[in-house]
Amino acid sequence: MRSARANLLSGIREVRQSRKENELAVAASNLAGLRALVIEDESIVAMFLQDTLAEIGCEVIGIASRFDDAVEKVKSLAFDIAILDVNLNGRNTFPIADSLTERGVAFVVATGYGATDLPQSLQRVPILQKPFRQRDLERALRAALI
Amino acid sequence: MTKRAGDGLFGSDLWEAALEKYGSATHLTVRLFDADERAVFGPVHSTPLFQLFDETGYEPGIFAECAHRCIAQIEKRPAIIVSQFHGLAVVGASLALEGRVVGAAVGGYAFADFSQVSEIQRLARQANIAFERLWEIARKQPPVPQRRLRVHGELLQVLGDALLREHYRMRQYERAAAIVHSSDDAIVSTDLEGVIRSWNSGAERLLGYTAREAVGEPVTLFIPADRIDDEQGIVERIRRDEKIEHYETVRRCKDGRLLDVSLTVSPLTDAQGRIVGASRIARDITERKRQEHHRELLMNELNHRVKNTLATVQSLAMQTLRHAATLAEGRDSFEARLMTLSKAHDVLTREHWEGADLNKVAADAVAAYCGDVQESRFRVAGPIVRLQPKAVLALSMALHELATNAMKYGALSNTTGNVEINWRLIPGDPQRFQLRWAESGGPPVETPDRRGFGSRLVEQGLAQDLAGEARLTFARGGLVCTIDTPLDEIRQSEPAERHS
Repeated sequence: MRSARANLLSGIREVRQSRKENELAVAASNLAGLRALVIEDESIVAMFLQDTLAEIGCEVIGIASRFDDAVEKVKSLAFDIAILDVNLNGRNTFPIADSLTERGVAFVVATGYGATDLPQSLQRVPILQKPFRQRDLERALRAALI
Repeated sequence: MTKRAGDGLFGSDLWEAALEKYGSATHLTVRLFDADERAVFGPVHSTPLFQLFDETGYEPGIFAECAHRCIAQIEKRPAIIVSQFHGLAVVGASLALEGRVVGAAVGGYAFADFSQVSEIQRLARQANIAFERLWEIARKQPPVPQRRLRVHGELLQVLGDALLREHYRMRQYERAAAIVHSSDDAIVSTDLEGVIRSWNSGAERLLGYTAREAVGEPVTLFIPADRIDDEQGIVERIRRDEKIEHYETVRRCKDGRLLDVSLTVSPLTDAQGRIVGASRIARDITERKRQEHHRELLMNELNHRVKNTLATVQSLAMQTLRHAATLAEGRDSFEARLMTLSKAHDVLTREHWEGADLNKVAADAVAAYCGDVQESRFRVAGPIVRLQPKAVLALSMALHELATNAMKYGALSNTTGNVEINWRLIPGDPQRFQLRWAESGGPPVETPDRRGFGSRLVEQGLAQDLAGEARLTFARGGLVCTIDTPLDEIRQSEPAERHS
């Protein structure tokens, strides 16, 4: 009895340990040097993202504020991660999300909507709820990179 | 026979047929009176004698008197009047419906029964003479025994009540049928096997099948395949005499379209109270569903806008503070930017977020800087351009930054400088929009070594929001800002396009 309990406890400890290690690894993973594409139609928010990403150490290689522009930049630019607003001037960006998924590029979805309004295909993508703090952005970026 | 058009209660063929039968069995004539004691039906004659009354225009008056007694309920038992003068006995019964006296039936009885007299045809032909002679004979007969009259009165009562009830039931039925017929709801009855037995015009309109097509078909005719299981449950509940109210479901129309309905299903019983089927009332709730959906969309949109506005305000605050030399300066700049954003929202709200005139946007942007002295220091000119909301917000913010800069370092920092704001439309494909902010008369301009958030808001933000170019030129004589963008990117779209 006692040994079963001890086994269980040590098992739990192990799981906790590995989870913690995992988190630590993620936290330590360097976001610096990542090339980021910002897809956001509010220019003021885009600027804020640009500055915040720069502070984290990322390089913003492009900003797209219009749907067609975003489609074009996703295709033509080389980047490691994208921050994708779900709505560009009233048009949802799910097709852009799909093409990012297809290309295997990590991305974060920025939205003022609740996560429940997103389609099934985006349920596993990290959500950056607007408005956000720098650490929310960092956490979302890390989650996207796992 | 002088049958008058009485009110609905006494006018039916049912009465006539029943009274003829009753009369022929008892050699009477019968008249019906309404609650106002007006003769409304009859007389229905069975003996030729009473026919002679009519033909000679002889009106004994005791029918009306008897009806009065019945209607006024002077006597509890059937009212009987025996007139030796007329050689006539009458018996009346009051007719009541739902506890209310609605009229009276009065039967007349001659002392002499001439119905069997062989020469009656001849007598009738000579009516005018024969009538008096006939009458004399009648008066000499012994009166009809009271007992017999009472029995007739009671018979009359039973007959009248039964007929009225029947008549009333029919009217109720007709009224109900009229309601069913004219209803906008689909009202369908089915038997316990689920076979359609009736189909109103509401059902024809909503579901598309005519009554001829639907009656006799199984109820699954208009139930979508994935809802057939529900139907089994409904039938079981109906068998248990349960009513199913306001159950929201979907029904299939003839053309395959699915219709949102609110369904009420009630058991139908026969005269013995046995459950024989179900009535199904389906109400079209497409419109309600559409409104619910619309409301949900609006809530989502509102939430989205609020969250995005918060993100914008957050970005403004963070970047203002980041660039501010002192906390006080940062606070003032942030406040001014927030107020500019808020005023631009006001303009758009007044226009239902459809757009605003550039003239108005420009006037609002410089209004804060047009004090008494400086009123004439702005020259604003350009053609009418309706801007879309995004352009309104972007230009309001940019003009605010330019004006603030002019106040601090440029043409508005001394007493002599001026600002010209001009815009024009350049023909071509695409048609272009150009705006120029030009300062003059201010202190000599130095190109700043470091660009602040204001410059960035104009050069990067405006360019991005207008999908064009925005350039700041620090010319020696005064700052110049030029904006160049395709007109379609900033112009409010036509209503037809907007709703497409």
